[in-house]
Amino acid sequence: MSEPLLPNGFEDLEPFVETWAKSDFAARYQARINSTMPQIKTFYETMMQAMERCATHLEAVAVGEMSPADRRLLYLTYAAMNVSPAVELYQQPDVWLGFEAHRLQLIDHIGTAVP
Amino acid sequence: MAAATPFTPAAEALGHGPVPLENYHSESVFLAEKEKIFKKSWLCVGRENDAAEPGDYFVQDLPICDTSIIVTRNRQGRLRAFHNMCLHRGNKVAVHPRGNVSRFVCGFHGWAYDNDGQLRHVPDEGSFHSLQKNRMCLREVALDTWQGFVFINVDPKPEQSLAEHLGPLEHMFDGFPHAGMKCVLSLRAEVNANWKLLMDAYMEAYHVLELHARSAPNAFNSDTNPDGHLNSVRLLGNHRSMSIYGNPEQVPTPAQALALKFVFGPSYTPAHSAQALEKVPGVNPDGRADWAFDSTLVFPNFSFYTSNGWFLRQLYWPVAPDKSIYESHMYMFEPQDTKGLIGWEHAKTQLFDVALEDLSTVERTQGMLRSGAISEMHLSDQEVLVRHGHRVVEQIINR
Repeated sequence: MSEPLLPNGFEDLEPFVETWAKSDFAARYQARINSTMPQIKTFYETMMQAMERCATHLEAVAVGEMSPADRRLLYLTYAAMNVSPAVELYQQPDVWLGFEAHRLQLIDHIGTAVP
Repeated sequence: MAAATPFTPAAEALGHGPVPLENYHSESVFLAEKEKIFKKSWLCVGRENDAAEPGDYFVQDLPICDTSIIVTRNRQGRLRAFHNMCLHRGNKVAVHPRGNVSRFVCGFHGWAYDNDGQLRHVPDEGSFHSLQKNRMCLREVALDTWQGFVFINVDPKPEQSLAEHLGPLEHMFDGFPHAGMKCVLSLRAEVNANWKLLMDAYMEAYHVLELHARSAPNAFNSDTNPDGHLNSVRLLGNHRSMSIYGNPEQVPTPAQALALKFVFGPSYTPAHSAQALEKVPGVNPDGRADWAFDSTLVFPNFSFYTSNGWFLRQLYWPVAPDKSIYESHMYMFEPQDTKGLIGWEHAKTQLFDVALEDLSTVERTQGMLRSGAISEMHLSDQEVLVRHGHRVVEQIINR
């Protein structure tokens, strides 16, 4: 049997994995500003409904012992946080009249705990 | 009616007149700042734990000081800083931004230095004449630390110690729990604007209600403080500090509420800021419940933001009269569990979005300066720290 995309019980979120389960912040932000508002809204609303369920599952797994499926689920929760201002505040994917996002670089830093 | 009046006699003494825009683009002012400020001042280049273990190092390029610096921890655990320049023919000896080495090996001819800067190996040494290897060291740069921050001074004989430079700031943050916090996000941007124009975007909260209207609705004003006036300001020699009002009644967005449930203090939610705050003299010095955070400018170019559960280290590096580098590093307590990591993502996103807004006006302004259409700017009482910054720079470069 092939490895599951997401942990047992989270099959309903599988359609979001390809677009949103990105391991780094820049890729998640890029996914947000490259998506349409209908795509973002569908993802946000589904994830906000599922968030407590996801957090309860993830909380029980030590960060160092996550399976690839657990990790993808974690990245989906990150992406939900990442897109939330688009829905809750801006009504568009990016900030209003902002500095170009690609020019604000994430630089190498010490101490990221992201698995 | 303002909820609070932040003004001190020192602030009043700065006057109320317009401030010339010339200093934002003048070549001669820029050169004077370079020689009289940046080559003479203590500059924050990192955190002590950016080079935590013996052999760890990081490199900070300092175009405004015409150099690049290596900060490294030696075998005895002491931090030292050196010009990143081989004694042989001047090549940079460290080309990666960070790492762990016992030898810095110049990639040109292979000269090798240890973490005390001592020259240890010269290939084909016999072909050199009168090379006194044991006397040859990477050129050292003065280094000292404060509150976990690493400062360097490229002046071969600094006029002041770091403690003297800090003056009234020295003990203002004693007790701040920075040691338990971790860097969560580091941002960098090359900005086509003067370093002071960039810095001044962060020296007042007057812009918040317009520029951040969508990002932080009702967070920094309220019915009792409709214009979001500052809680207080402090003029501290060349340094300056302000405490930002926060609306305790602000209603978080659904995602923000979740993030707050998952990890304490990641987002700028004023209702949570003043709760259970440890007593630190420079943090919420007014002891108010309607407080969001403090922002302290450590002269010349380092903003230290302090709040409950997070701090920010932000730098404004001059490169040219109309070019700067913006750096922002966010530090938070490490979460106890995975839920906290989800909260971190919300805080990171908020910092990123707000930075895009803050940086947006800076280049637009710089692009208009040379038109000469206006030659001075009008500053309100709420922008007194902008005024103070210009006065301090003027006084030093006209000395």
